[in-house]
Amino acid sequence: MLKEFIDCGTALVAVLEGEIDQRTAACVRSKIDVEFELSGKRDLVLDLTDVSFMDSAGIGLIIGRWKNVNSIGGKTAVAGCGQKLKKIIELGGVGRLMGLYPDYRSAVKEFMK
Amino acid sequence: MNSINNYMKTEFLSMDINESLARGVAAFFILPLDPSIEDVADVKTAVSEAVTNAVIHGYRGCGGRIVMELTLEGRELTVSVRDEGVGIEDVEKARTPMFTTQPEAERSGMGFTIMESFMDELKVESSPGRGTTVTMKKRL
Repeated sequence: MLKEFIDCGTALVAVLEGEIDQRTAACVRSKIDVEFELSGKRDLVLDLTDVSFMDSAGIGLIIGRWKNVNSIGGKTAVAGCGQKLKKIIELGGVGRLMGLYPDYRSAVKEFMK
Repeated sequence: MNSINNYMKTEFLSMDINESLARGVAAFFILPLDPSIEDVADVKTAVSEAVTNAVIHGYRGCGGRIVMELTLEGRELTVSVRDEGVGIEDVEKARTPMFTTQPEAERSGMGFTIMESFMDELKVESSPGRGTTVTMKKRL
């Protein structure tokens, strides 16, 4: 589920929480896409610190957002995936497409370099 | 280490809200074994993938019934998820990583790859028009 959005420099930070599966991913996806469009930001950080469960629908969600942001020349990052989501994030090949950071602030700092 | 023999069978409607119900039931079923957090997460994720496949691909969102059976023999868990939906024409192709019939819906095509990686064994039996049974085993 979507907890909140944080406006952070060039990036919009989408803070997610709870369980991300096929049912919740569709709702999160459209909320992020609308907010990103309205924000006029270039970059996107998906903060997964408070996500307790994620299956392949979460991988689809992350890679789908990367495709959108990449198509307008922006950067995407994942923050706070921690130990519990590490296995699925690795298997989904997310780290090959974008940076993985311990928290959203480190991701935004990297964007600003 | 605990060692338990147990069995349960549950039948539920093919609805996306039942994906979280099914993985929750599976997690509770193995709890008496005092499994590691990683093992619980692996089982929940694999069950979620199997049930999601039945809901989305098996019944194509049109309803139906899904049967999940859980068996514990000592510390070995067997999960089977059965639907009577459309079935899979080419199981080998469906099991290929990143293969999806619905790229526009942002499906990652990772379902079977996740089941295979997170569990020790995966068997997929399917025939077109008759449905699909996914059987997974994991030593806890």
